[in-house]
Amino acid sequence: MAERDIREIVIVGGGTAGWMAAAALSRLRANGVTSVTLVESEEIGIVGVGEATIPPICTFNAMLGLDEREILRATQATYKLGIEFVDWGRPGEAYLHPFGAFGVDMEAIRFHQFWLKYHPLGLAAPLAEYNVTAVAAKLNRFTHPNPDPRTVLGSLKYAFHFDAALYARLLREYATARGVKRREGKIVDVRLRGEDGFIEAVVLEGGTHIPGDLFIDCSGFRGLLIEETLHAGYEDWSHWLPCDRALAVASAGVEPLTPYTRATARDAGWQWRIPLQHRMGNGYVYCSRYVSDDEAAATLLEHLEGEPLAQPRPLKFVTGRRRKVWSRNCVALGLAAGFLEPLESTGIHLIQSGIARLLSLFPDRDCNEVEIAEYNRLTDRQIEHIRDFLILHYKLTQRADAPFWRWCAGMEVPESLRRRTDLFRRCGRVVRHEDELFAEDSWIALMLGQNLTPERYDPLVDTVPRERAVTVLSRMRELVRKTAESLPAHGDFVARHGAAPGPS
Amino acid sequence: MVAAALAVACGGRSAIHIVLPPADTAVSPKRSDAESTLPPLRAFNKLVGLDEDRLLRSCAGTFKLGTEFVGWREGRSYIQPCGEFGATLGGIAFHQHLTRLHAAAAAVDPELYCLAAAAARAERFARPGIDPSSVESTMSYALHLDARAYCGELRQLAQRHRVVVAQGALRDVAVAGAAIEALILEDGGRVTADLYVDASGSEARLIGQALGVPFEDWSAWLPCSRQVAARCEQPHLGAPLTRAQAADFGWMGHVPLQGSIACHYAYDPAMLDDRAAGEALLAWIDAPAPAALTYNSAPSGRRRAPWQANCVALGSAAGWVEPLESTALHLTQSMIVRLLGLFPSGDGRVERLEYNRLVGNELERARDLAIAHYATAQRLGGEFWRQRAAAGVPDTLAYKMSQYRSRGTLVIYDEEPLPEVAWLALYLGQGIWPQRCAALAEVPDMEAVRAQLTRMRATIDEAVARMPAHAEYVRRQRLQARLDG
Repeated sequence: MAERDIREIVIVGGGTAGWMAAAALSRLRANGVTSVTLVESEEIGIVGVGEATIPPICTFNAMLGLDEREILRATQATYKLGIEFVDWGRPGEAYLHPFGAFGVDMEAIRFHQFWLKYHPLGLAAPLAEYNVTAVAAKLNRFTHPNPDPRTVLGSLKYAFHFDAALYARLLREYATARGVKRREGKIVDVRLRGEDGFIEAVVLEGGTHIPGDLFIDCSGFRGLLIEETLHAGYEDWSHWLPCDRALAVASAGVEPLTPYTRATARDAGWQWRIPLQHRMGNGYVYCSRYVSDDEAAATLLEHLEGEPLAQPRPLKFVTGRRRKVWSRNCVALGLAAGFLEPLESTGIHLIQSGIARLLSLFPDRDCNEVEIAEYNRLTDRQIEHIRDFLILHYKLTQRADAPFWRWCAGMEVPESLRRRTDLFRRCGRVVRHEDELFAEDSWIALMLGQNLTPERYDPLVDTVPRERAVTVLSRMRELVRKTAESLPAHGDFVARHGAAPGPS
Repeated sequence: MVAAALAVACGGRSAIHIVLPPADTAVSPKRSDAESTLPPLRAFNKLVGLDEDRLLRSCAGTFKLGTEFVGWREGRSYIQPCGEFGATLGGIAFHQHLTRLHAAAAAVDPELYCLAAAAARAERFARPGIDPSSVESTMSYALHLDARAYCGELRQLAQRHRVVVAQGALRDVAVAGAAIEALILEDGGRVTADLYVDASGSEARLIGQALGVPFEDWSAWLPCSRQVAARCEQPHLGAPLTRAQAADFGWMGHVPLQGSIACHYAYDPAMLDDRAAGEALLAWIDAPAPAALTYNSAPSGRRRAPWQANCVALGSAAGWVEPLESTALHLTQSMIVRLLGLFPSGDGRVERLEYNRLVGNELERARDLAIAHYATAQRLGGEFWRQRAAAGVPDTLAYKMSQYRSRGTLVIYDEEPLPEVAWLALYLGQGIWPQRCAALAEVPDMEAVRAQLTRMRATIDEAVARMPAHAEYVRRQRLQARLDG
């Protein structure tokens, strides 16, 4: 069958998506047939999506065999235990969306159901106090999880904050050391094959042809191959997620080093705060219908904790997805495949899961429709689940202080999301789907964090005697608190495990 | 089953009445019936407080490491195991490596890399340990139980939890508007409730007959709606397996219990009459003097809305799939767990919608797996099998099979009742190989993979050798029980 094997993979674009793909696909070279070329142009800047990640990034790094200390050192990384959402429900309120689970179920009844009963009675503490990841985050502490899942620290999960451009550089070194060819140049033309419309080659300025059997479009929003050449189409979701611009700026770092991202609601969107070793990443994601660029820049700068290190950098986008992320012999990754604002740090994850899917469904030269169908089905499902999760942050606002938020509270949401909120509002139940990125605890953190209080708790909770339930609750809380307090400070942990070399 | 679960779950806060018709009506299990269960039932038993050792004694229980499918490919048999095939190597699923070796013309027998299947073939059994790094942890198990005795255990348990039994046939159901108002018993007594659970089997006395919720019939794909069963003595206990053997007009099931074997023939009543079916079953049974034959009908299909107004249907009142995959009790259990998870308060509108969506999906997934057995059957002749081959498959199943056939992709939808391995065992057992393995599986050195496979086999062989014979293990359990008390 070797005569049908993919010989040449051409990756177009050298941003985070491009180099992540190159690093992972370099593994195929060991079959003796496949080679990988990445084309990038120094002239075209990279967007460097999201500097915050979510726990599956650890799987990706492990698959590549990257050492965590090396990542910390090379990318100015810090650890991340979750995201703090400030002013999303009502102004003045904050909640954490931690990685890791809330409490432990009792008699096959979900933990949060007990909390729903006993918290209003004053017999349970705030929800976050039953989650070791959340308590550690609040205390600015960090350690690695315990491999034994039965322990308290077994439920801890983490990810990283890093400089995405440095991460891309690290992966570029990794990929080129493993035989990925890098071509510098600007693509001026794309050649299609007559008989089936497959991409045959990309043409660089100066006329060089780079032929390939499979093309990975990592060219960013424009979608040089997937859209400008193959016209896959784009599904616009801005009627649900209306933010369409962002301003990004780095500022001087501040102590202490927090092991979480912060997302603060502003008048026409929200502001991110991502702590790195050497600086703070900041940005304002906003809706241009409700605020001018100048006002947005002023808001962003006004809320920085340290001195800005540059002028804010503008970005424009339309939230939505590519209709067919894999079309003919072209697979789009990263921004070329769709855009979701970085509210839940899903940018890099979408790239990584696209790569994993591509590897498990890797095609022959003829790109069988069977694998394309499954790739696109899974991609669609995943991005729709994440979309619903993001929309709910906006929909569940109780802010009446700004027209943008009033609009969000009143919007129509997708049917799939309405079913979830109906079910939760009734009795605190959470819908689960196969392979869903955000697990039950994430939905619970969001819905309770933004005051979607169920009408009642699960009636089965009443079958567990009050005294027993309350005792177990207080023991859990005590164990979580003691465990979290025993952990090292996040800043110390980073310094010990992977301090990046200082500026020379 | 539902009474026991609800009683335990409600902890005496709600009053539960169960209307039990006199013995030997369609609903209650017959003397001949046995339950071939799936591993999750053990968790259910634990949750409601039914001790497994006690069940093994009172229900003539034996262990189950899988189902042996015989003759679905002419002259061959394969095991669908309660456990995994092989181990993931280098982040690549085991069956992808097997596919690669198969394509390289190597003779590969998947069962040699599956502890549950290898132990079952050797007629050996021991409960697996819990150490996740041990080879034993790749195996799970289920139980074979006498259906009547198990039902009795559940009934006792329910009564201990103060479920009120109203003995007597159901004469009528009073309906007000679209909801049930009361159940009227043969003696004129009335039972009223906030929630009615219809566990009346395929008759669906409440959800179907009283409320008129339509039934979606799947018999075009799954026509074996009639079943004849017999129990015969068998002092020798063999493999810890249920057997499902393809027959001329359907398939025959074989469930080993302590001292006896429960057999049945599920057949297409349009092609075979009851008498001939009974004779065929008796001819098949390789044991002396079987007990009387009992007959039963249960068409495959599902209730359009298994929860309507104040009535929740469970078990075959909600839907039924030919029990090729031992899903009978499993689907009931799953519906109970879903009902408990969505236990209503108030009008229950939101819970109802979700229950119907989940239960509907799960029944369809169970349907697809059962149909897959017929769709992949390779038998030489007979009108029944010709019709099966011509019947086609639902789109959801066609998609799944096309994914596997191409590059070995195992598609898992929401609410699948059985794990991925059930599908894999079916494909491999029927000799269906992907056209090609996943590209990543072609990367590692083939000799290194062979060496790892050889080590895997050796580990499994050693683990099997450490296990006692199934019969011996069951005997020791009985002995232990006697010593204990």
